[in-house]
Amino acid sequence: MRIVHHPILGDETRVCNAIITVDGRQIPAIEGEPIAAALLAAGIKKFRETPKHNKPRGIFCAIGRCTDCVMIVDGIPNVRTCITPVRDGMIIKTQKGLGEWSEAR
Amino acid sequence: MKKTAEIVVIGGGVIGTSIAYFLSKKGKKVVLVEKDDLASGSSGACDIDIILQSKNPGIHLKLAMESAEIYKNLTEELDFDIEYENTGGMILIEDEDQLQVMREFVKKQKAIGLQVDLLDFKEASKLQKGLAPHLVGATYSPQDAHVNPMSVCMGFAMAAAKLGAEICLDTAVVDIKTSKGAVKSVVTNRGEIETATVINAAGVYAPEICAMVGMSVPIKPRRGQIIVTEPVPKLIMGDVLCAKYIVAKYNPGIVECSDDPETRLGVGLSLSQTRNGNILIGGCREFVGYNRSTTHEALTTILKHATRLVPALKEIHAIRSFAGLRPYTPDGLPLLGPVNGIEGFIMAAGHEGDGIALSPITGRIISDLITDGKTFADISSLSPKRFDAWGENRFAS
Amino acid sequence: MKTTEMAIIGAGPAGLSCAVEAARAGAKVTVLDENLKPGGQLFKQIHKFFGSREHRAGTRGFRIGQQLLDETEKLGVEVLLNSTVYGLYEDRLIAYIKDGRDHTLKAEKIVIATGASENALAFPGCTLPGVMGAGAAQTMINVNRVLPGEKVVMVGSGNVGLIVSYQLMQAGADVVALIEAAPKIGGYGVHAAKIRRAGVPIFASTTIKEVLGEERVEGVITVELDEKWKQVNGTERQFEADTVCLAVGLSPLTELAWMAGCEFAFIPALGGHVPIHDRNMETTLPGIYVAGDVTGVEEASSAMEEGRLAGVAAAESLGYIDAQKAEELKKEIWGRLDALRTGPFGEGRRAAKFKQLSSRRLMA
Repeated sequence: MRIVHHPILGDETRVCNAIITVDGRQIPAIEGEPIAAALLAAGIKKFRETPKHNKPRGIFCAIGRCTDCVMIVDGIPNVRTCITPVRDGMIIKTQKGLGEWSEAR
Repeated sequence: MKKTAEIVVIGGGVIGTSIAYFLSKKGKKVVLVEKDDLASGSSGACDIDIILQSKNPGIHLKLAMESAEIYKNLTEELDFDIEYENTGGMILIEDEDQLQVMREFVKKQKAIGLQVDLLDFKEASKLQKGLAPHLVGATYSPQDAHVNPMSVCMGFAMAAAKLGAEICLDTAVVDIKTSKGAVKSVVTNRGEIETATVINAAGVYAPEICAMVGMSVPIKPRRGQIIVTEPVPKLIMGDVLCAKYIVAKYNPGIVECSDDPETRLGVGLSLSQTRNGNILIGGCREFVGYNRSTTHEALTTILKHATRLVPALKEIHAIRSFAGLRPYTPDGLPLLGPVNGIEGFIMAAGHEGDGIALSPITGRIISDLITDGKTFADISSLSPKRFDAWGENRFAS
Repeated sequence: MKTTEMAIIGAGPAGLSCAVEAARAGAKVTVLDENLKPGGQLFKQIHKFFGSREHRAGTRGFRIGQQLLDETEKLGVEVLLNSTVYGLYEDRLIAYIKDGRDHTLKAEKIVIATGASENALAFPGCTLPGVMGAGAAQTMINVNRVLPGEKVVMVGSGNVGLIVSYQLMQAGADVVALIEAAPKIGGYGVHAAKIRRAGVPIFASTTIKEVLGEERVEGVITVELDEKWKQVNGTERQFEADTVCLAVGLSPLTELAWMAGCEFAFIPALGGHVPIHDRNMETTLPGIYVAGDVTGVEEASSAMEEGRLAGVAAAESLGYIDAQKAEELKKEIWGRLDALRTGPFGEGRRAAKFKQLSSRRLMA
């Protein structure tokens, strides 16, 4: 959920100006915000499944340290979504384990 | 407090722990002393390859093949997961000159009984994807394998302990006392251990131990550096080396004096992928004393070389790097067995980069020598006595 | 190869303060930071800082961050963003990745100001999406303006736990409980009073027994602890929640200092292994300095003072400040640092810092 009004920071002035596709679903986003923020704003909390036990994981540190939030972004696995900025048209996938080698790679 | 031991093994790496295990299995009472922790030296700063193809045809390859046989059932034998996997391996060939060298190498290896073949580029590409199109081919052996060297140390040490061995960590040897040309005791920072038999398995630090009994050996640290990538899905088929690696390994003279950093640093490709998915990218061979730091020059040179041969690596993030020291010897062979002049002092060091591959067989050989006075093969070419003249002459030139 | 007189790794409160001080003295300064924006964690601090007027008490953290950025710009400090330093090698060679390419920078003086990262805590369900660092939630609400969840259980009652609880409420979330394993609240009374007034129940001697949920956090079961820190059966409470925030301390990000070969001391009160430094913030390696949370976890105010100290000391050794002037400046800064490390909350840190400063002599 986006914070529209805030007692200290004032009202949100930015508007959603990008669309990203997450596991086939299109969600609105703000160009330049971290991918993780756009996902949380859309209510998406599970970002990946662990390699050994397929357990769901989401963000933990939000500053690029812990790598819990990695996803497949435009075909590249292990992208830290908490520090990677949104670009319009990004294709994002929940990362299962270590991801896959696409034919292009 | 003074204690006594039938045998003291110095060093908690893949060599020392293996010896401790094989001796314990034969009913010997062993005390293993390690100045830091298990696998805290070269055994914890190396790749994961048990590669037979890189061994010089001769006693070297023969022992590696015997060792590989022991590895096959070692997980069961030790009841410890050492992450053994019989992956197979290949050596990439870049040009016709290398092809000539490798053709000869393969012929000799085959004669000794190694399953190894020359592949053309197309066949090689089937086994390993992402290869650079300029490669002319590769050698391939199905006998190469992987193991986790730190788990090997743990597995051997725990199995030895179960059989009654005492493993003393954080215990540094400060002196070895002799009397009438025979070992009497090992003095450590935690006390003295009376013993008639000491095995020097201290790897690159073996010369320090030798010095305690007035002996000098030509073991020198030869640094290697390795880059670790993020975990990725299976990409590397097994042990992947390049022909240049073989050249760098056996021709230190060539690499020392070159202007080209790749040659000067002894860079040769060594790729392997751990069970977790991390790719280890090596390596280089440098004589820089006991400096275990990584260098920007070597790391970038290794990566440039690796991505030139396997461009698929360019898409993967490097997350760590480390350096380790190989116990180099002038003839590329380890020092195994008793020494002249000091009864009860036995060498088991100087395996350079082959310690992982030769770990089990070294344990077996040393335990054979101690219990029976002989072993299954003629290992006279590995005797430390071959360097007796070196100790006397080394200051002459 | 690119060269500079002084390279500062980390553009947070310590790094930027250091840059301002050194650049003001005339040094050529380059700051590297892996993030796209400078400021470190200052921009998520929307509360007013404590301390005296010299510590800019009463000013909100993000405004201090903006002032520091303005000053660095005015002084012509080079700030390299999106630049991840991955290595410190011999002869003060810095290697970093920028835009997917490898770069090197050689500096006469290096200041490591890499900060700290949040600790995790193990309990059943601790890996479920929705369990996150309190600082992570703070980043989401105050920097990205996104609520990570609506019903939050906060774990830990230090200042981070208290302040982030309040800020979560300001952002529109419901903090259903704040729990603390110790028998009493860890942070400042004023912060605790604020969230108590807002109706947040605070449970001391209480920890998480289990977080419920399959794909995400759905609830939290807490349990009380006896004086031996053992769980007391029958004292469980269940909360409906979609988020668990962990405010259970931070650990210094010391990788580069280790890699460079700095000597360390183990001081739990400062977050674990911390690089040993002297009163100039210089490590055991000549020319390599540390400042801020990497030297031991405190707060932004002391990080800024440590940054200034390192800036003055490094500029002095580069010859930009004479010894007498430098002594005066350092004395002033130490005065302010000592003032920050007083009172019931500061004394422990003061003692710990003293231990760190004297470690070198003890080792020798």
